[in-house]
Amino acid sequence: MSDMETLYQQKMNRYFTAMRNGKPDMVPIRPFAAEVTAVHAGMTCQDVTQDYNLAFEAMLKCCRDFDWDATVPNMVYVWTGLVQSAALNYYAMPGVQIPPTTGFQYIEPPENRANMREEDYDELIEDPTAFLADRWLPRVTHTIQGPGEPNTFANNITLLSGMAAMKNYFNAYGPHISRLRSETGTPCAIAGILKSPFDILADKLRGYRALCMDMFTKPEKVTAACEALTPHLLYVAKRTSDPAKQLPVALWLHRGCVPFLSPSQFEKFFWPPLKHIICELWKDGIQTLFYAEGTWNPNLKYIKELPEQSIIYHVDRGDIFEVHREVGHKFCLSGGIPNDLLAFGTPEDIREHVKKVIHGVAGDGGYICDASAIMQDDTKIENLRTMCEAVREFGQY
Amino acid sequence: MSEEKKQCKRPPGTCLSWEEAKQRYGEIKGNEEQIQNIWEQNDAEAYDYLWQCLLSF
Repeated sequence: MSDMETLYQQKMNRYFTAMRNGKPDMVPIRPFAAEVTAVHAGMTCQDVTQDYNLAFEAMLKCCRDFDWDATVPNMVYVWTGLVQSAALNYYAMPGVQIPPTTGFQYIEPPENRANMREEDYDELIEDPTAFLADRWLPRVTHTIQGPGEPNTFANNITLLSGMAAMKNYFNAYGPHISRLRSETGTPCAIAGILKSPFDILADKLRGYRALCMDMFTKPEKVTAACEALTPHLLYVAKRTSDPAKQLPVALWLHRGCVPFLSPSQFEKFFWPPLKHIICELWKDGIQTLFYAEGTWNPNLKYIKELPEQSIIYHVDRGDIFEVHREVGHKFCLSGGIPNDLLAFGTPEDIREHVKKVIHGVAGDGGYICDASAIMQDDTKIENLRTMCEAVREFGQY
Repeated sequence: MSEEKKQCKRPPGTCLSWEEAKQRYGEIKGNEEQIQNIWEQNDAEAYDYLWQCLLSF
């Protein structure tokens, strides 16, 4: 076995043991590093969003230069080449609509131009896939025509080029992940994609503000829409998951945090379908990385309902010490190093905070060090380096 | 959630079912199972495209 493969096996064992809430040889480091990889590699946001090969190179450089135990192969996941080929209209792209030094932006349309209209609920509920093809895709692209609308050359070419771009992009991941392993000894941190049914309704279909009204005016339709989306989201999560069942499916959570939903709304609309999906995945041995963006501590009583080890609970703005007291016996935790500290703090601030978190939550294992949220281009490189060094200093078992 | 409510008119992984697609051809003269399998594999790619656009991009 090569030295790099030995290193890979050590890191993979460390990461996997922690994810199953065990105690590895040391606290694993798994930074979700997005545009900060471009900063470290001397590139722009445009470089790493427009050319995924540059994004891959930036990540490889980070994995060579920092001692990471696992990484997302490309955390700047939205390749704007695909956005262009598929003619998606809901992104502001670096170097196109926004400066090349600004990260890509998702644009939620105003309520009166929502990509799913108020009157569309029954159609979505009846057949979500047909709704996506016939209603959603024409509304979220510059070129695709809906049924009954005049066909165009641009319509046909968009379908061809969008599909080609997606295959091109996804097929590039295999060789890149192999390079991460053979050239840097770094395992992949996640596999697959999952969103909560309510978040999909909020982010991509009705929009958050319109959905807030719908919860009062047509609650039964909101519930039925979430239920209709559920089997599809479960299917995609399983289909894109790690065949070896070592890596978790990543669940990126948006609107379930405080204060976007009241406790009763969370309990009624958000939680039941999501809990169902997570439990079904776990029945198949697939863990979920529960990436709890924002403040989630008031929802911990629901999180506790999940089967032991079924999730890795990622802490963003919640109090990680309270999270550890409440659910640390059931689940591995990750995160807890504030992004504002990484952006504006000093290396000594970072060192002290890492020490405090490790001493507070990592004593029995089951902790993976990471920033609270995805690291964009405001993260100071010296602070990122200090975070990694401090984990090695204080995180030995 | 009840199992009934989770039943789908068009199941996950399917855009155009083989039952719909084979209407194009009339009688299938050879091994229909093989033809159906290949159809369903490719159809699932179209499904992936739609749902990946929704979920990942």
